Amino acid sequence: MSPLLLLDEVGRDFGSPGALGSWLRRGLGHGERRIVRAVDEVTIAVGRQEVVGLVGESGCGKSTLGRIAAGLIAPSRGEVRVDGVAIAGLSAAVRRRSMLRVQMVFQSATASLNPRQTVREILLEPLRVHRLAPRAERDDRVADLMRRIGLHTGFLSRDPHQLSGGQCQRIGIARALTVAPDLVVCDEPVSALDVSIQAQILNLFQDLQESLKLSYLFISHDLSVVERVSDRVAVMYLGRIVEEAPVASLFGRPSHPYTVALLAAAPRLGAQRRVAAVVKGERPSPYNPPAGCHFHPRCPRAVELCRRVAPERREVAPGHWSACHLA
Amino acid sequence: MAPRFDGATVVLSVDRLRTVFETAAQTVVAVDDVSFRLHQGEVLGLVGESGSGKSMTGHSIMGLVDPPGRIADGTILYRGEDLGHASEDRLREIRGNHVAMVFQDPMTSLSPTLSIGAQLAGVLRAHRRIGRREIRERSVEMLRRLDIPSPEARLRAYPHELSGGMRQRVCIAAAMLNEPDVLIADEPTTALDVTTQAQILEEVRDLCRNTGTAVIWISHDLAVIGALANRVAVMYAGQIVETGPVAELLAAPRHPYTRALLSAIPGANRGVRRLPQLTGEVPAIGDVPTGCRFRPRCARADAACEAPPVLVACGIGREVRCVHPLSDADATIDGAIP
Ligand SMILES: Nc1ncnc2c1ncn2[C@@H]1O[C@H](COP(=O)(O)OP(=O)(O)OP(=O)(O)O)[C@@H](O)[C@H]1O
Ligand SMILES: Nc1ncnc2c1ncn2[C@@H]1O[C@H](COP(=O)(O)OP(=O)(O)OP(=O)(O)O)[C@@H](O)[C@H]1O
Ligand code: SF4
Ligand code: SF4
Ligand SMILES: [Mg+2]
Ligand SMILES: [Mg+2]
Repeated sequence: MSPLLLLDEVGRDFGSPGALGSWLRRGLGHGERRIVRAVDEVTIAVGRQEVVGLVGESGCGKSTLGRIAAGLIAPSRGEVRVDGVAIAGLSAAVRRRSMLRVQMVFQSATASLNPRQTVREILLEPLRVHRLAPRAERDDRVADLMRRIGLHTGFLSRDPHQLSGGQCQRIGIARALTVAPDLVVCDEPVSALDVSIQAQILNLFQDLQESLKLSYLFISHDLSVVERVSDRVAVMYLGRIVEEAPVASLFGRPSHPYTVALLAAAPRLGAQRRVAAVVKGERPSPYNPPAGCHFHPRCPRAVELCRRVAPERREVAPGHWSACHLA
Repeated sequence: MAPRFDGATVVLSVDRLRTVFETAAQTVVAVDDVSFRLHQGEVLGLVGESGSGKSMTGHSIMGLVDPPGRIADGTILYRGEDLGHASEDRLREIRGNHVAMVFQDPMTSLSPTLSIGAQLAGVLRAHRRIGRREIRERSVEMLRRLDIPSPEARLRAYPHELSGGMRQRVCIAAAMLNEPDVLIADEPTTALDVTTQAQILEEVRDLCRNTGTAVIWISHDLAVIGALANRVAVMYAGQIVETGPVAELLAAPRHPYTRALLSAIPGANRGVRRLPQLTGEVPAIGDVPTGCRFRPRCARADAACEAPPVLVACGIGREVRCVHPLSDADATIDGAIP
């Protein structure tokens, strides 16, 4: 059976100006704009009722990959398949319906809410536009969601700017859930929440995974959260997935040197004032990524081969993939 | 041994601050009876429940509460100067030169139509007369210190072309370029992975050491607070419910809410199927419980909690707003502190 979502060798570049754009810029003396390969030929699948965690350092391409998965931006290369069907080949109407099954919780919560709508309108709109629930049931559905995200229904009449950061973030989560999707791409969904409300939201995600058979692509920099929610975890570095494994295997027996460094750097309560950067060396430029293995300038184990040849991913244990020459 | 700041200069002193949003329909008290002092070079961690008034405390200090919100009561002294009575010009000068804030949502504080370089130049020029060459050098240097690769190229980028964590760091860079006396950072590293975060924390510590900047670091992440702050204040429903030196407070919380926070950390709950979460109804807007605000959700509540508790001293440099504070024995959380 084909997975619910498959990203097949997808890539995405930014900053490649069209002919006119580049001509204009040169004319204005801005010089040639450089290209960022934000996502570099990534293959990843999310199965039904599965949670795939996505981690990696800031700027490595997680949000870009998430937005491709949610159908919000088109990949420059490769294919997005939902239930085995390539999205790019569908007619606009069919595509819209099929992408409705994939919803996104945005990283910048406040900026993603329409400032001219009340919370009620924000939550009802997708139901209304797609004629999802009978009109009489819509309000109940919204009220139920509000309770589950820990906000009183009194907040329904507010505008986004009257909410705190964490309240906005929870409205963003509720908005993604109203349409009863099959897959939710969550981009740092609990990053602004105190741990107690975070716990409530993570429990809610888990409940919905079981009761509605929901799947998640779960992007977070917080490794303890990712370890908590994920079935499988993918580690990204400079646009590529360098390791992918079942959660216990990844946290228990990390194979890729970058993953090892990432896990070692996690701050923990009690380990006070010892939060030190374990991944040493200057961060590579995404405009001009290192040849061979992207990680080689910072890798403690790098050998000559790493400087020249990009490692292929290899299965180091059942279901555990690592893209390292020494794996 | 954590440094003590008892003898250091007080740069900011907030006393009985009360900030409200008043409309015909209702009054929301966002900040209620908040008092604290901030010493030169000190980092105060501000933690608390979502919606408890952390950001509004920061906005109030900056004089940036938008109507219908207003500061209804209390005083804010910056080096002894009462900001409540300062002119709008003076406030602008203080914001430009002395007290800087990194706002919670970087997209709302960055201008979408200006390049990063232009925005940083604006900050530097507000501070003093400065040439183009120096502007460029200082901007690049600051971005590099905050771990942004290819800073020269990023100066030409616009905010929407940056990742979430890069935007946050640009906002931090703008605040730090000021070398402010007081830095208020509102959830500044929520999008940052641990390595980048460690780098930022290191830079902030340097800033405190070298320029004596005092910092209010608002964060929900107790591990970050533990690594960075000297002192912590915990907020619940608009009030500070507990405050004290960071190590003592995290090791042995006195307030039941603080303990609930510590016990909900995912890392402290490996192998548990459901994370512990607070029980009880979420209070309605404007409808704060009488007496102790945590009462509807507190396992220790009894008749004594029906009167509003006040902050009382409980150990050296520690205060708690609870009539039945936890003892050392109650406070230990299994697994939270390895
Ligand atoms: N619209 C855009 N135009 C130009 N460059 C972009 C655009 N969107 C993203 N990028 C670049 O692509 C790279 C990856 O960005 P992305 O937002 O996917 O990172 P991320 O992994 O989500 O980072 P973070 O953890 O900081 O949110 C970055 O170098 C970023 O500057
Ligand atoms: N313009 C406004 N009108 C009415 N209420 C408001 C307004 N702005 C904020 N509030 C309310 O004030 C309270 C405190 O908000 P604040 O933004 O300070 O919370 P916070 O502690 O920063 O929370 P978070 O961690 O979620 O960011 C919240 O309940 C919020 O809904
Ligand atoms: S391929 Fe070489 S440089 Fe890359 S992670 Fe493996 S050992 Fe390090
Ligand atoms: S005062 Fe009473 S209700 Fe409030 S936190 Fe203490 S024990 Fe709980
Ligand atoms: Mg992102
Ligand atoms: Mg806030």
